Amino acid sequence: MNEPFDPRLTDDAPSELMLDAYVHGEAEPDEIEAVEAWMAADPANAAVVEARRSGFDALPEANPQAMLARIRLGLEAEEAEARAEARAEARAEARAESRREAPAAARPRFSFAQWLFGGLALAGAAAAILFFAMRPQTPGIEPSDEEVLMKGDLKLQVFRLRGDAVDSLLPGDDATVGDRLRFAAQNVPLGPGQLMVVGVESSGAVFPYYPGNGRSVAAHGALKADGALPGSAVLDDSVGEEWVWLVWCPRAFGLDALKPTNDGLATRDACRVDGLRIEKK
Amino acid sequence: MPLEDDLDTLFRRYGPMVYRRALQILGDHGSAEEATQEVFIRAMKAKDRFVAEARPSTWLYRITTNYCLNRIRDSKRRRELLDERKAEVTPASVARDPQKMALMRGLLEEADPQQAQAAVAVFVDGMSHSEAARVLGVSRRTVGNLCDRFTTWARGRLAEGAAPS
Repeated sequence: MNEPFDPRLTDDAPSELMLDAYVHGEAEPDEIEAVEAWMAADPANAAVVEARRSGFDALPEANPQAMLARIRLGLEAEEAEARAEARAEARAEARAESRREAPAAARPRFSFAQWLFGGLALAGAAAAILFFAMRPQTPGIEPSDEEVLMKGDLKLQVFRLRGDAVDSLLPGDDATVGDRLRFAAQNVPLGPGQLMVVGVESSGAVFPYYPGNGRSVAAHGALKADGALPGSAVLDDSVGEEWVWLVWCPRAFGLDALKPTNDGLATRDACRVDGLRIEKK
Repeated sequence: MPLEDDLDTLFRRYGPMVYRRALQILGDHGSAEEATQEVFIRAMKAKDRFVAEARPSTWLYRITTNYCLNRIRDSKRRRELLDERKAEVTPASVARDPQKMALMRGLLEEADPQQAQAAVAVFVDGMSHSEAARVLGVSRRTVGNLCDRFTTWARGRLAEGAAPS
């Protein structure tokens, strides 16, 4: 290179930022004067400003609708992550609280004989659990592929987004930290009603998936035409079995109305539920 | 000047500006779209921190420039840029000298981050030192120093032989 490198790419035109400020009515008087003098000097300059005024119409290669849709998705994902973090914090706090309520000093102490009899009792309980676990499970408690739902039964669908792949989860499917879950509801009763999607950990802890505040929402207001619910939830790093429940009730309800039982999820009368078991790894 | 709360309004108004800026620095439409999306996500998340006296265009300009400079510095992006130089896409409304802009991108990848910001404002955008000082939040003298240092460094880098990659 014979001449020293000159990094300037522009002539004496107003800066890009000044042109944008002018177009958006944010320019100072001296900037307005400078831009208008530049426009008056050459019709091509005026055309540059006009192109900026016409927004995306002057940028035919850009796809503003697609960009806007992806921005919304990105914001939704950010919100879901924030909700997941809040849930994880709330769970950690609840666990810490329960530990505080049962301090080690208050735990009963056992004599050798009590340990011995306790051990025998535990062994018996384990045998009983094994016995019941080997029995066929009660239909409806754990939905499966083969299960035939009567027409009109409430149905929960859970979609797992992992990277760019989307799968509809089946009972027992796994999910892992960072997976994003989206929910859909089918056969929601017509007429007014409220719904919520909750998770139940193996510890019995119930937490909201949708909506994040743990209060039900009007079902038909929340559902999109294809039955999908808005937003998604990002899974935290807790592991183990978890049930996801879709709950529909004729009247508004909160998390306190839902109690996990051995058979599923107890709700108020006239409510309907459908659940799916997932393994968090 | 208030900042629109509503994403649609903000995007309709400033989306083309952000896209054009990103296209100018990154040099291809796909990357410009991605950058535009990311800038608006960041802007919506940070809008509570927007100072009402500032211009929305200046605020978004700053977010866009920082994002794009970070982007071209990452190594993967560097490899992509090498390919893009072969088929440079720069509409006349954005870059007045596409070959020189491609060379500048190569330099901006490697430049000191503060010098790169000043170089984009003054050399690429054509801002006066006063204008750049306001946007970058530094004094005019600092802008002048950063630009001088960038020019000296760039000349030395180019004198080493090959164009930067």
